[in-house]
Amino acid sequence: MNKKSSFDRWIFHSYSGTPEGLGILRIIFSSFLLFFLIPGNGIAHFEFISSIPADFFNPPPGPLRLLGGYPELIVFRFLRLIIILSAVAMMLGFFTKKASIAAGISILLLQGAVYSVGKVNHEILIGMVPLLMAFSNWGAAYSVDEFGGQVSNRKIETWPITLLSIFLAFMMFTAGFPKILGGWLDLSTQATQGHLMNQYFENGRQALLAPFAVKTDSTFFWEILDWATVIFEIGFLFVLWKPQLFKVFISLAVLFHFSTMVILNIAFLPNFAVYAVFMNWTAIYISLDRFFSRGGNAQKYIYAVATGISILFFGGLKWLSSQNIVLRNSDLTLHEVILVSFALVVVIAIGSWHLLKRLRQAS
Amino acid sequence: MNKKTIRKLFIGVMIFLPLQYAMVGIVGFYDAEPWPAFVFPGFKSVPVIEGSFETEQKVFVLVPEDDQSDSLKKSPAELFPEIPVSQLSGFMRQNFSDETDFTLLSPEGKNWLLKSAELAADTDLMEVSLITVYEYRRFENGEMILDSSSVEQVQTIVMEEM
Repeated sequence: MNKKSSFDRWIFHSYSGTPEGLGILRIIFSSFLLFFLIPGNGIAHFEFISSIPADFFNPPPGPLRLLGGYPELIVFRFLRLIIILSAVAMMLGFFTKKASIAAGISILLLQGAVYSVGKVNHEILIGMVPLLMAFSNWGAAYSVDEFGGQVSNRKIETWPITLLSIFLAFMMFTAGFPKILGGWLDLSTQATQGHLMNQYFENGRQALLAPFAVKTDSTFFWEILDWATVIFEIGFLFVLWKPQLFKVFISLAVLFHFSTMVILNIAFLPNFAVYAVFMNWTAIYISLDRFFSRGGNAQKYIYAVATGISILFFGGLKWLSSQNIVLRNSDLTLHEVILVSFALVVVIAIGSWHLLKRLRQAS
Repeated sequence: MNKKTIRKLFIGVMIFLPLQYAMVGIVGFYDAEPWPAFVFPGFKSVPVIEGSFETEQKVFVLVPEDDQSDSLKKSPAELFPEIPVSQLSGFMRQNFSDETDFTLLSPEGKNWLLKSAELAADTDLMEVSLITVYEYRRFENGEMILDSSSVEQVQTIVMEEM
């Protein structure tokens, strides 16, 4: 096989999919975005930012420096409205491609405005998911576009998923590489423990297992975590060409974020929207199709059911989280804990299923 | 998009990503981390724990206008509750570092800060200062205990004109 054809195979055939599978992903991603991933902390947060005088305007180097101060509140409101409208349109599959592009661009613009307080949060991939998936034809099924006869071609493209994998792998590398330069692999220092102390005492991140972790004075334990973190983050780039291994690393990422959440109280929820893209949505579609087909030809209801369930699930979780029943003195939220834990359960279930399948085949 | 265009897009992205990373490194060294950029946080630094561990915290000292009352100490999170914890350290680093010259603050900036402090203190204030508190902790019998603390770098930020 020549280099060009193997390159093509990697671009176009690394990941498989069906219109229905991508349709379910689109619905779930959109409602996740709608309830949890809109940049900023809502209108009160935007009112605060827009009230800060220009003395405290610290945009990161880049296009935001063209602004002389924080944008007016109306700009925040407008961008937020565009994101909400485009996320709803994406979820319903209404002008899906245009809505996805609009969502991606407006997310990036709003992120930029929020980061002008002087700190960049590394959530750019939230915007990249709809921007790239717009070209996958993920509105071909379970969409208003489909029912309205706007979908002339049901052929889906999976190269946007491969492209997303490049962004993710490279960004993971940029997390791991500085750690090597900074001395994380030095056996005489324990970086993870040091960062835990900073998070615990300086940022007050003292929920879940943090109080136990801060008492753990084991050089061996912390050094293992240092090495595992670096190997895992750098490793993404090396498995980029092997989609199955890349998915294993995605699973490791879920485990990594779970442990980071329980120890350091950092959930990094936006990344889970990216990891979700790499799930086998076709298998989920087939399971749903089988379930609904039992009672007759109920497949057409999957659209409504998937939309309804995702709104109820994410919306209910958002409401529950806003009640501040638990984690009152932490910036970690209940929905973060539930969603990250849920992702871990899903990963363990998928891993166990694959393991059992292998064992059965071997016997 | 046809296959040829997509192929070119992939090659372009694979060339662009390392180049922008180099740019992030250069700009970050001389200024700050640029945005937009395709990078995740590196957490490059290694906080050292050798017997004891040092933490550094900025604390606002608020002096009430009514000079009968004691001064109040408020954390940045109390003064700026709307800023998420994930961004608060960056906000403080950019605006309230040891090198910040608060005499350069505009009247609008001073007034905004005073109002934020008064909201946090729930009283009128005559002065807002910033102190840096260093705390030293060490392990003892499986616990991280406070060994000592010191206050350095007292900076007066804003004073109500009498």
